[in-house]
Amino acid sequence: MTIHFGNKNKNNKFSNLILPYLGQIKRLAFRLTGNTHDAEDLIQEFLIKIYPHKASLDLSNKSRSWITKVIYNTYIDLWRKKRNSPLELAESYCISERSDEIDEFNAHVCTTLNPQTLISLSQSQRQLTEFLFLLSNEHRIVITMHDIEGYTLPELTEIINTPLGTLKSRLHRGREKLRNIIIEQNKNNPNLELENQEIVNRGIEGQYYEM
Amino acid sequence: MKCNYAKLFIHDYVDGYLADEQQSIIESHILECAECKSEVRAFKQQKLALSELPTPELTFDTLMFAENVTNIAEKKYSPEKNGVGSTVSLSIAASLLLSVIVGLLFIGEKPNATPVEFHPNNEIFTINEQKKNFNLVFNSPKALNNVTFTVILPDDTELAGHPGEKQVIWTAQLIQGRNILTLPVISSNQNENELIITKINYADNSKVFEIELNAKRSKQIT
Repeated sequence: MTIHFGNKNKNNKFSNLILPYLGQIKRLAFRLTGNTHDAEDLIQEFLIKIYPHKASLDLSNKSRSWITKVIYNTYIDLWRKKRNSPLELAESYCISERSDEIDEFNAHVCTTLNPQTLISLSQSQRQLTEFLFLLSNEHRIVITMHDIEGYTLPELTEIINTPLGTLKSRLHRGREKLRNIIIEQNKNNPNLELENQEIVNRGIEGQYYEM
Repeated sequence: MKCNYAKLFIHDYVDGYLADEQQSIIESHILECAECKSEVRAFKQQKLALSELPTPELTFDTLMFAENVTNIAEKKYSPEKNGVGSTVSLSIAASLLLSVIVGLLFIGEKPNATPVEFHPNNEIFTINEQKKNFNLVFNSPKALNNVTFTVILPDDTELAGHPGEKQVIWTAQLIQGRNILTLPVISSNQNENELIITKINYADNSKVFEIELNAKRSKQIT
């Protein structure tokens, strides 16, 4: 009897199976790491990790949240590895004015903001991205998953494997910290305030209020 | 209702997590209270700005990598696996894994990995300019704070994220031992002998490295 591992059928090819999730994978990897270089490393690790489970990818919502969960876990593993590694990358720079607020956890994250990260964003979006990385990893991840990626808190309890109350308080506290950072920065840079105000005004007129 | 009470629910209100009844209680307070109204407005604006953040395109060819993962896995699990096939694909896998990290360039010690070029996805990368990551590897005898990096670029060359800047300066920390500085360089300069100068300053000490645009290696000049 011959057993064929690795099915050559086109529809079962790994690359075809992950194709529908490609946007989600790339976006999440970038959101979590904050730069394209680390996002690529994360995607590689992630693909190797899910390969043995490729048969269970079935386009359901369950598959989507499972993918998010695996990417998140892979990110945390990589982050821990990197933190413990003597070969920490030094390509990066911190925003020195705010170094007083950077704790040990944050310091690593801050160092991942290298020059190519901020390409193709408007000035205010660049600032917002930078400010996000001044938050602690815990606060940043919840804000990223909830406010940027649109996951609900109940979904995040599964993905991040953390109780709802904890996630909620991280989200609220993180938002307040982020807001304080923006306010403080606006004081030093009136032009930025104008630009932020533009984003704000569009939001007020938009559909956002029709929750 | 007191503001203190309303403020406990402001984020849940913004996120629409409250039950209808609670939601309308908070809403009626907000209509009367300018302070809470402005809080709600601020957090809604912030959330909106976050939701509108675009994701930069990655040049990494995820599908190609997935193909490679498949090939490796198939070789690994195949009952007919023989030494040659699996060794070749595993070594390709190893170099693929490392190639994203290692672009070009070696100083101090050579990385073990063989650099492999990834061909950028055409859909994403349509400009004629060439983008390369130059990795500068150097050793530091101890951890150093406030090390200043200065990168001076030749004509028609820039660092990704710093359009039009001939010189980019920033400060960083070095760890004890091996450090890697990655320079994402975009260049349409045809003269491949042009040099990128990188200066590293700490207190009164400085080191200067030259990297050729077509660099297979760079050299330390001071």
